[in-house]
Amino acid sequence: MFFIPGWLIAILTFPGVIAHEIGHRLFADWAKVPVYKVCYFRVGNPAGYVIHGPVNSLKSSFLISVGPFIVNTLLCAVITFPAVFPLYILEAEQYSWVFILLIWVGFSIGMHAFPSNEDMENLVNNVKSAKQSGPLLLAATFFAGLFRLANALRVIWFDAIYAFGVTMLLPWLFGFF
Amino acid sequence: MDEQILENIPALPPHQYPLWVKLFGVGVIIATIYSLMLLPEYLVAAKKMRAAQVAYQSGNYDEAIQLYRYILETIPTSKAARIGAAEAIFSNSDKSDDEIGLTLLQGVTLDKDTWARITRVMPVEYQQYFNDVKK
Repeated sequence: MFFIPGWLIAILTFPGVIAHEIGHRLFADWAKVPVYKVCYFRVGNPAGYVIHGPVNSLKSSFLISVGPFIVNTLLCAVITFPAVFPLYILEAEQYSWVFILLIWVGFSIGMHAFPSNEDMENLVNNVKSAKQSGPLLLAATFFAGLFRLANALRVIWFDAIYAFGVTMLLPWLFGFF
Repeated sequence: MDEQILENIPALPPHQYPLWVKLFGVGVIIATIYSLMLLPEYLVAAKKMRAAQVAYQSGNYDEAIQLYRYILETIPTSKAARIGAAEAIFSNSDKSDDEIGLTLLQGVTLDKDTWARITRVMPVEYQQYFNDVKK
């Protein structure tokens, strides 16, 4: 397993970072949650962030925290979909630059799909402060744990593995793998 | 961030984004639409590839050739279609078109397994035209 610094990965996959932060900002705006500061991309840790005010409902909290994950995953699946065929099924000898661009943009967006640990912490805290218990709190805690694990596994390229899986998802659903 | 600190910072106007962010968003939307526009052509070609492989395995060589021809018209650089078409052409009963099969394999690098598969159906006299490639 080879190690590449996070900032370098962020530079190489910057469309994903920007798409993720735009997602946060868009969902916050839609949920009428005040946004105080946005960094769409920077060379540092984190590579991007959105600072917003208190969230007024659980639905809004879910949208702001998990929305970018859903949007990034869908975009990755759709953008890379046609580019998979010439590469894996048709084995095209010349791979068009358009496909290289689509794979890069789509894959980058997929790699930055996971909500950050802070995003999930916010969601769990909102569930708790809404005095929700039982299945909702359990589900929020479970998914928060799952995404924490996914973020921790980034050291072994789990974000890239996830993006690759999403890239292969639609062709697989269409019966190609 | 502390809520008290946040109170002193003015909130950004909602739905107002820097120009470059808007352009980036438009770029992603264009990439998505362009992908969806490319999709039918490649999806049909990939489905025909699967159908051609099934036709070949069932011994329907002429049907396989037709399908591979369609794929090559759409994606002329498809190595899998060129190899599959050549294999089907060598396998059918019409020996007059074998040269077309040979032409299809021109310049194609075949791995060991594919070469073994091809030589099962390729006329022996054609095999002299192929060289080992050292990796």
